Amino acid sequence: MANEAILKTVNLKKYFPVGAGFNPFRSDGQRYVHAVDDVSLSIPRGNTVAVVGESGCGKSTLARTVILLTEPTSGEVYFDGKRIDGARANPKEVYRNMQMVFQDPDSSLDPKMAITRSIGEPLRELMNYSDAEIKSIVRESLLSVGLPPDFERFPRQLSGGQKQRVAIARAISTHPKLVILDEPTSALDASVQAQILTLLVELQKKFDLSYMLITHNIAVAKYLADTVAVMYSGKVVEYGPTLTVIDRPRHPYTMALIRSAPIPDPWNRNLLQTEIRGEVPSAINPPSGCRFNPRCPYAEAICSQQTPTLEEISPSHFVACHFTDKTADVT
Amino acid sequence: MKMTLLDIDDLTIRYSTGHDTITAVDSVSLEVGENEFLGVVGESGCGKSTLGLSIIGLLPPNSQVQGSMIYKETNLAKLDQNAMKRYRGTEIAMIFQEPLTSLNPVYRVEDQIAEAVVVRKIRKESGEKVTGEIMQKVYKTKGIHIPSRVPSLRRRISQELRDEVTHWLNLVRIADPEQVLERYPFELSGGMRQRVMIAMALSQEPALLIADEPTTALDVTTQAQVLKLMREPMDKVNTSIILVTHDLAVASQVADRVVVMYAGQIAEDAEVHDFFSRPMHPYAKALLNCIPNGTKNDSTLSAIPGSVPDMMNPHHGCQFAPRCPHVMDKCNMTQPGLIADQKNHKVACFLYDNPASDLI
Repeated sequence: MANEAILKTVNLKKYFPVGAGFNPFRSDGQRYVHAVDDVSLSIPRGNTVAVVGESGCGKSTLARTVILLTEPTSGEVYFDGKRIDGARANPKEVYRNMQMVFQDPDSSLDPKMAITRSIGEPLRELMNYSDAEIKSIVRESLLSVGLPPDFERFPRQLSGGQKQRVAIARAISTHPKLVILDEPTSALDASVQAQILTLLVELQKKFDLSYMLITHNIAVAKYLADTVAVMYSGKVVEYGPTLTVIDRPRHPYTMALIRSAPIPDPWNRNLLQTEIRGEVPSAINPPSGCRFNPRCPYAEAICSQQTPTLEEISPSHFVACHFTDKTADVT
Repeated sequence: MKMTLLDIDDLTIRYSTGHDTITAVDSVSLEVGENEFLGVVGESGCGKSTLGLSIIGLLPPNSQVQGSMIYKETNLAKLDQNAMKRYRGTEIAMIFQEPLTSLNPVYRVEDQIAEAVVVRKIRKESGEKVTGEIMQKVYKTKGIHIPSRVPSLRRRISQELRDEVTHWLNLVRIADPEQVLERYPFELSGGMRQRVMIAMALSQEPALLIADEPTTALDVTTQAQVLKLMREPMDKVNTSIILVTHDLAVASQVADRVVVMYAGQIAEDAEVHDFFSRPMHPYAKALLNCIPNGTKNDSTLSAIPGSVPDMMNPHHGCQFAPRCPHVMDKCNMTQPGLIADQKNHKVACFLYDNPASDLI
């Protein structure tokens, strides 16, 4: 199974140093933002793994570390069986097979570049194609994302949904094996979101893509993903098959997160029943023990002393909580 | 039937830009009852924010308003800016999407809420017009006027006022209000800022609160807390709320009634349970089908083909006709008006024109 994974991270950590300010009397030394703290994930070939969490939980940093936009503090990243973190791999070679779609197409597309040029950019940079070949691949990519093949426009002339389609066309132009989707639909309206989600499923089948989906939207994760990893304050707190995690969550944070997600059902006003208090803790000085303990309704003394590790509570369903037996009764 | 608080009748709002005019809100008629939670739902560009801004009189100068908005026997559409001041803030309050741009960055939370409280007192209790430097009034109210060279000491509000501010912060469940009082907006998290905005709006005890996408910039757990906060004190303060949102799911969770807007017009207007059990307008149905509800293996998302009409050149007839699966010849020629059934479920669609229609 292990060599089946297209992407694997082992104990990946990313800490950002923060300035100590101007206080010369500070004695606690260098401080760090613990953005990603000991994350081990693997994405099986052809599958979609969603990383779900709220802002500041480290999900975007995880994606950026995986795709070599930042260097990990420690830990290992394997792509297609080869270790790629640090200076171990040629980024050009990695990017041929791993591409990313960002949240906001307005800032990820060059406003002064015609979109056909934008889409051809990875081909020019990463592969040795002739101009004619590039042109035909660009046409093909545009067709696959549902845009006319001779679409000679600038980003400003397009609607939000069309821009995101262009960003996706650019990501798939090199026929990558893995595409990282960082909040691909959160800047879009509901009807456009549905179009993009359908497109992503279609492309996955057509090109046998694997996706790493970064999102805060549970419904989107449920729709696209085969596996869900829930992150809280830099750590994965729950990990397992999508339907298990979403329908029978066992970590108190996942339970609160899912109950807080609005569903279009006025008979079941779960949102008004949420009891979660407080907000995501500071990643500079995270709470000791389980990071969720100050907000957790089940917290006991042990939770602030010992950090729970991910335990397999049922086949391929991992939860990092001391009291999974208590949470079992609730769901 | 609840008493009507705000009665909007045939409201049309146009923006003029250079040589063109854009109709942002097109003959909208709508009633808001007392103590009612109304959800106005639509995609970007459908005119929902313009509608909210027009009620509180904050439209930009290049706009023209036609029609009437009767609020407690006053037509808000006809008021000039000066007369509007008597309502804005005090009677009708508003919460915006981005709290950082609506809070004043140079005043502490305490001072900003105190200002709102003082203004309310001056207006409501003594019926005076508020003029001049309001913050100076805040620092001087019945106050301990400390003649001090230390600015932070001079800027002290009276204990009485402080207690009232704390009361409002408690109402929006801010933990440790005594500490939050001393902070500046940049020191607060997004959820806290939005709560401060809500506290400030509620402190006016407004009869009508307009919330324009108040939770769009927030995380889901914070969103849940904020929505709960808006819903809970409604009865205590006896407020009606208009929640403007792009998210049908959010509206279904908190609203009593849902209004769906499309291209500046009302497509459907119904009680929330009635709406979700039998949506009538093809657009409303399509919008509901766009919400992912299941996995890629066991459900299909039906995206709406095409895109939102260009408001510069609106479609002749029903605005949704070019994207509608049930389009008829009539739809491309005339605009359907809102028709109501026995349950006061209103819809603007020719499919329901004929009472014998079996589509319902």
